Amino acid sequence: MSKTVKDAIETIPTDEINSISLSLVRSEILTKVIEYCKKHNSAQMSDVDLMDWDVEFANVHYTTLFDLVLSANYMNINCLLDLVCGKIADMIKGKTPGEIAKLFDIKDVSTYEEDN
Amino acid sequence: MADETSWISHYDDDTRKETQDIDSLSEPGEEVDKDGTVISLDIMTDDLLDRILAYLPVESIFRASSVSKRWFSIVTSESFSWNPSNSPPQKPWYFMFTSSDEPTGCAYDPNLRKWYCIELPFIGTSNWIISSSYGLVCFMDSSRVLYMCNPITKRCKKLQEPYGLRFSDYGALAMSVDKESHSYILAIVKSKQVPENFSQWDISIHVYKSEEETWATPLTEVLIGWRGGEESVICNGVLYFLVYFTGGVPSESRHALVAYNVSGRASQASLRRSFISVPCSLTCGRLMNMKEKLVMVGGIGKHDRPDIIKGIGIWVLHDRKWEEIVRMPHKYFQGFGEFDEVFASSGKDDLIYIQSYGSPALLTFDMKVKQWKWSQKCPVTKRFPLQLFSGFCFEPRLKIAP
Repeated sequence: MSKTVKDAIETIPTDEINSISLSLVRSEILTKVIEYCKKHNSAQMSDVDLMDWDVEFANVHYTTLFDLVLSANYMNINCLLDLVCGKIADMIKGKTPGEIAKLFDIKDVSTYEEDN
Repeated sequence: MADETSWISHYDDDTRKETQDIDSLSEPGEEVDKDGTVISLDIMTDDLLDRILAYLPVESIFRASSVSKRWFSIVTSESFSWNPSNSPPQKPWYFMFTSSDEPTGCAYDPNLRKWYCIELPFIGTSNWIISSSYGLVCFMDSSRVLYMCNPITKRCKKLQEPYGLRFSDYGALAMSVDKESHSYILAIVKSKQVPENFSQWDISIHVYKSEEETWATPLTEVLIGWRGGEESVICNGVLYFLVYFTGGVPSESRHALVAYNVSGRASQASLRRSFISVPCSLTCGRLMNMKEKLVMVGGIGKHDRPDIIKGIGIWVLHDRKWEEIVRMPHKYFQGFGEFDEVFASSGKDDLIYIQSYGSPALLTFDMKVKQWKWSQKCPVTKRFPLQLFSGFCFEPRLKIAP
């Protein structure tokens, strides 16, 4: 599922594999990622149930979502990346620019009116 | 970021309700994670931010562009991966402003039925002549200064005006944007009364091409008894403008339409020969490009008193003949209250807007489903008896710059 891991496995000779370096991913996040991959790889759940599971999975504090985006991006897991990006977009929907900037602690909020 | 300068001011309570329904984990104030550090969305790389924003529906995209400079440059960049064909086609918006000193006006979004306050850089108290096409709006003021602007991104550019424009009595403005290349043409129809002979008018057509950044004057002609005004539009490469009878021998109709080909190189017969008569006696006419068809919204005059309005009609031009689409039902006509013989009207695609200069009431007509509908109540109210309101229709687009 992870292209990064797949590439790593393919390039390193089999008998030398002990560990694959994923130094940028914190252990708690890696646990979540592994949980996601395991669930999506097992063929046991129906599509609908899997979608419900995804919704539950992504129902976390937004800082965890950010970590998941960065990790899924680093590990090249596109379906997980889509899921968490979509969830963050849901949090942006319906908010005013001021609310978005405050919620996500965005700096550099000067707009064109303030420049002129 | 001060709220007064934020692009959106909310008059609609639905959005506040929607915010409260969201999972409590996303309430403002809860920015701190377990370790007590604050994490900002700024940590995302541009391509990740692009990926996130690409999930937003179109009205959120407009708001996202106002969050920060970085978000603005991402959503307006050519490579932004948001796919507009995934969202339903947007009906055009209507920008309404009033004759006061404030530079703000309100834009009506008929898709969500909401009004947004927008500050345009220079609306002020000027009497503007306005034309718009594909997300760009061109303003010409009484001293014939020209601006091209995108009201959503607020990018604005002053254009060089053609020589001699400041000395005309009347000027009409029309523009057309090429959807593929984003280049545009502007046409100005200038009318100047000949000093020695009041029934003669010097008409000249000036054309600007954005790719070349130059003006040309392909036609000048003297008309007798007719002058141009301020009403013109370009449809399918043809410039249409209204001319007005100025007296002399009484004529049946006080208005006529002129067609002039701005796209081709073929030289054309005189303007006088290309007059197209209007369908009935009008008090005023407003021209608009509706999917490259010329549509006119006209005030219908009374038989005995052609300067008094008794109704409003909508016609479409096929070749050189008018076909009546609809007449405004009496209840809507009365709904405006006092209605002058002149009014504001503009439209794009399938939606026509009509408003009376004396009030902020706004009526829409959907050409596709043939339906009349009042807009949501405008947040701007009439504060004194002589206050005037005007407006124009435009397509909200992020990715086009003047």
